[in-house]
Amino acid sequence: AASPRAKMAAAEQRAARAVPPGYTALEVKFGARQRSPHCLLVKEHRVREGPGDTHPPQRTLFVLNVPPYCGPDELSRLFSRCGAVQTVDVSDKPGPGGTAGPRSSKFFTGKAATGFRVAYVVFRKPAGVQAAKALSQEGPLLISTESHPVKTGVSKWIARYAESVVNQEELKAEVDAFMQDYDKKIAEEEAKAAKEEGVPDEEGWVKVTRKGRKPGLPRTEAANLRVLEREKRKRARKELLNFYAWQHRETKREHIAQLRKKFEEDKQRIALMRAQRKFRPY
Amino acid sequence: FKEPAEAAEAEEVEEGPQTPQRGAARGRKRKAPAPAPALQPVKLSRAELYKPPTSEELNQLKETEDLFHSSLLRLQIEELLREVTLKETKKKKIDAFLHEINSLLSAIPEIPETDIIDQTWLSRGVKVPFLQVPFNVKGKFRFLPPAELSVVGSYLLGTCIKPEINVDVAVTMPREIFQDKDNLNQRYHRKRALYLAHIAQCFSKENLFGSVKFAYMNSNHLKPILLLRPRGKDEKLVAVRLHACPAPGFFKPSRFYPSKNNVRTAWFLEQSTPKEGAPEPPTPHYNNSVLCDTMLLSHLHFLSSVSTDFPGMKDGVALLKVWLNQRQLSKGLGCFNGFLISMVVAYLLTKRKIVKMMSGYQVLRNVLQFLATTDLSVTGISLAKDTDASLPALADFHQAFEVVFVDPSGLVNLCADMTASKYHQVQFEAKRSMEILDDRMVDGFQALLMTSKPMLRTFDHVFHLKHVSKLQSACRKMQLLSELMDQGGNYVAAALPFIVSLLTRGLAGRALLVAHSLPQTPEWLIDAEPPKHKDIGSLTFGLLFVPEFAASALEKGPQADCPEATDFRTFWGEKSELRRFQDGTICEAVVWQASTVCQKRLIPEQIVRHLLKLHADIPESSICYTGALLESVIKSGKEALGTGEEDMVNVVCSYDDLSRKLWNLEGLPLTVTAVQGVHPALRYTDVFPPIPMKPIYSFHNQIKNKQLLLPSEQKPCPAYIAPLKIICHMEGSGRWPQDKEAIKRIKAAFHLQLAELLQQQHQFICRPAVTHIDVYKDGYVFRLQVAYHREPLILKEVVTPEGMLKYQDTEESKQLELETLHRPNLNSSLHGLQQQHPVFGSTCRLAKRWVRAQLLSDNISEECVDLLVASLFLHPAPFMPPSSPQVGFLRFLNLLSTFDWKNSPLIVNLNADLTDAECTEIKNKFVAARSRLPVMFIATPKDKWNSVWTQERPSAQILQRLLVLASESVRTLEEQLMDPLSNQDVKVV
Repeated sequence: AASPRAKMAAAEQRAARAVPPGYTALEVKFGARQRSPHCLLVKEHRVREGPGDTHPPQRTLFVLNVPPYCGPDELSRLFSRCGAVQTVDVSDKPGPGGTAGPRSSKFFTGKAATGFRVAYVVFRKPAGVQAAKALSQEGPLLISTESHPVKTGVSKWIARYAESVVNQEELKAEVDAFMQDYDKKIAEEEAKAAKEEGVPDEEGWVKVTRKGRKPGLPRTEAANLRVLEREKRKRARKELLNFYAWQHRETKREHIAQLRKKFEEDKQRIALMRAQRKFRPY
Repeated sequence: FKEPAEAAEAEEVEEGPQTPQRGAARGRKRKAPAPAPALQPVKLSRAELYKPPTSEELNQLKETEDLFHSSLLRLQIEELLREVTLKETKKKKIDAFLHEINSLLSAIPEIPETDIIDQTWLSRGVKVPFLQVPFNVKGKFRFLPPAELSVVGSYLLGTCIKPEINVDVAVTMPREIFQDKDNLNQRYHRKRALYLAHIAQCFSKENLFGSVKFAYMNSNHLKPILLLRPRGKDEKLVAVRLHACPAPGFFKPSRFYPSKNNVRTAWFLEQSTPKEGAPEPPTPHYNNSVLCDTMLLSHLHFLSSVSTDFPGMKDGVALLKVWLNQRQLSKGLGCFNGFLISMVVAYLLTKRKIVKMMSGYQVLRNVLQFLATTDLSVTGISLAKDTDASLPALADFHQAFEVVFVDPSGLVNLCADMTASKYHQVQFEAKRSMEILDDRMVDGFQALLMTSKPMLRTFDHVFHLKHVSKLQSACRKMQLLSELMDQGGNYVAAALPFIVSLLTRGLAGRALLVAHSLPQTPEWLIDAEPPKHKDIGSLTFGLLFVPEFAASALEKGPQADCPEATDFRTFWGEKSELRRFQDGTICEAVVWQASTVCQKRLIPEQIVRHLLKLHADIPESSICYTGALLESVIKSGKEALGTGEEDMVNVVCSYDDLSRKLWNLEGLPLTVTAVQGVHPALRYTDVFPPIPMKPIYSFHNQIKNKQLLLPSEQKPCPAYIAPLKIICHMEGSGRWPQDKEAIKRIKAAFHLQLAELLQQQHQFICRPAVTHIDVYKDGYVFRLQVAYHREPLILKEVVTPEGMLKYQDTEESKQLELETLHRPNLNSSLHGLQQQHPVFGSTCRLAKRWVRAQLLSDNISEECVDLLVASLFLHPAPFMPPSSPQVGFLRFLNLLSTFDWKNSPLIVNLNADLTDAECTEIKNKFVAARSRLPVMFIATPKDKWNSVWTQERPSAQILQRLLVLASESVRTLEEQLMDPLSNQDVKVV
């Protein structure tokens, strides 16, 4: 009976040693029945470039190694014992972008990250961060408790399926709103372009657009290539190929060179096949 | 491309399946297996390319351009010939060996005259190499040293090729050995066998030989020969074959005309007194076997006169021999051997179809052309120059033999043992080969000379006769006594032509070709009894189908009142019945019971079993039919009646209906321009197609306000219905926004609207989401996705700092293109392929099932497997497109394991949209950019340069693993399928 305990102690030590400098390891467990804990790595959030408004440095706890079954709700519940939690942001990579700003759309979001993630937990007061770091002294925290169970298995799938069914009216309303904004934006841009058309800027240049009386070429790569190609063809049409004696000689020479090249290629291929013993019929 | 260590290991594993003997021989030569180098684009310096040509070089370049399609073919043929022909140093060794044999032979002691049946002089260590049935025969035998010894056959002509070098030596027995009536009742053959037995007895004590064995010449049991191999490391090099032949001029040729009898019925049946009055049947095969021996020398002289000043003949015959060997036509009883080929060349030379100036390649072409266009079983040919009235006419030969090719003397039929079916197979192969040679898209060299065509991979269905001894009763049933006498009691040879013609008639219309394997007897030690007729093991038959008719359930016969009706009735027996047809006629007909597609494919099996039982008394238990053994693994469902092909058709029907309804949908702001399926079930290649399902209401909780059925936690899990994805292209219009976020919104709006309209106009249950709509119809769920053709372009747009608009592939755009452009295209092409080749889908499914069973389905895309299988159907050379899933699957494994993925792209010419020039361009670009391209490169007409389906997977390591697994699987599977006696367990999958 002693040896498993010793082993466990050793494992704990190893876990403690594996913690990168600057981080504090918090042990969490999925439920009470699990034996071995999982480590969340937490640190006070610090960034060099000025204080962001979403993750204020003093009040924010940066969490690494967040397991997939642990969402924002679970995290905020976990850390609520250290002080009131203001927001929790979970993303697949650390960084300021992505989660900044209020969520723009309920439906049109990118793919949800899978696997282990990072999280920013913003407390209302700076004391929360210190309290959270102190949690490492206590025993493992439970993510799924009886009062707030994390759904697993069939019930999780059923819940996910129910979630995947979209509310048609809501979706329609959102799309309509977005498109109205978009149309407005486009209309504004067009109005602006129409106003500027034909009006020289301060150096006297007039901007040529696709609209108006003399539409210019579109500035795309494909269009450029097409122009070059047309030029080339025009030149080729004008050129006489069988005019001078040297041209005649040249084509003959070219033909022989082609044959030679092909012959060399074939020879090389044969040599390779011979090396691979491709000529043994059986 | 692959790690050197891994490559070496893979090579060793691949060596495994080959015969150990060859593996050892190779192993010695190859010391350090270096990783094979890859092709590099050729770089010639300018000076070298443009230097003034010599006249010799000009000639050579011109010649290759004119005579061969490319210089590659010429070089390849040269290499091949170098590989198979005998080297000078070896020749010297063989010559020395022959000299020693010569001196030994003349020193053999005589034995005094005894009766033939008194064989006490023979020591115990040697058994007579002849099946002496019946044993009693009159006549005396004595041994005298040979009157003459001469080397005959391919060794002298220089046309013998590796790997089996045989030197034929004719040993002329002196005249004194023979007596007057030796032409009768196998007396000559017995004497011949005793003569060889005595030689064997003396030689077995000599130190010179590594082995002294007997064998049958071309497995003809009337003709034993003595095989001598040198001692030491040259043992594998050469086998000297001693043929005993009679003194020239001893036998009168007229006694052996095809219509003459030389085996008396009374003797054969061991009756004491001959029956009076009954005419003796002719014994053409027996006669021919004696005549052959008398002509050995003159044939040699004839061929050597032909081959003088004709260097192309040597090469041509060598190539043709390789061609025959690859098709398993050159060994066994009634084979098309090298001697026959030389004779064909000689014939064409006398007819001036070939001239002595021709090269080996031209000889090959001309001989194939001749074989393809001439049916020797109908119009025989003769090498005899002047027509002597006393000689038998061609018609006489046709009466006696199935295939006729008469030698220069006008007496011997060179194709005596060949069955008509075998010749038709040769003819068929020649025809196919000519097509391949003329087709510039195919690598003719590879297909003709380097690919072996074992029966299992050639024929759609293969079946074995497990116990050939059952043919004895077949002979009795078919009353083949005279044939038995003629063949010296060999019931296999006697019954085979009849059985094959029976099958050919029964399968007429369904089968393109009914072929049989050639009975082969192995060589045996001199102290062993000669092998019996039943020792040839099992006899294998192969059927090649006409895909349109192979599976028809009805065999319509003549009208009931026709005279042919009785014939039809006797042929089909009880199965034949009168039926009234839709046009009012009443006909004899046979109807076969088959309800599903896979059962229909097995109708030929029913026919074969029925006919053999009815006419040849062969019980069903001794027929082992391997046509659909593999199909059990793609059967689905509990009842497992069909192989899911009907399910697939139902899915496609339902989808067609849906797409029609989408087209005609009213009230959409933009019209639908195309509806394309992308799910594999919609191109018939899904391993287990979805089966229509109805939800069981009691398993769900209803949620009223969302019109939703939610599975209930306490109840059993509801069945999973795989959604079938469909892409619905909308018309392009100026009203589409040009911004990717906005397009997403518009698409979502379309989904909502489509769902609403489908619900209103057709009462389908629809569930819209942001990226798709699920439509529940006929028990299937279709997942509809709206696409806008400019969306991938908009995703690609990048504005350079100069303000230039550029298109650049991004992850997102690639994914979208794959989904909305490539996959629908592939789907429609493969859907078309399935219409042409009905077994394409099932083959694909078998292949995918195999990949999944090897746990590699995550590492290779489904589309990639589909394309690999498609290539088997589109480029079958040298085979025919498969007409059964089994043969298709075997070829799939073979393709996977033998294709040179490193140095060549696999071009799948869907719809034949690629031209010759485009293929060459693809190959050239492939070589130039090899290192940047995926390890497995598959080009199609719509995707020439990118190989989209193999971009990400498989990786080099996985591909290597796949190849090893494929070569092992194909070996195991073929062993199982070829061995009729063991119980077959298709456990590879």
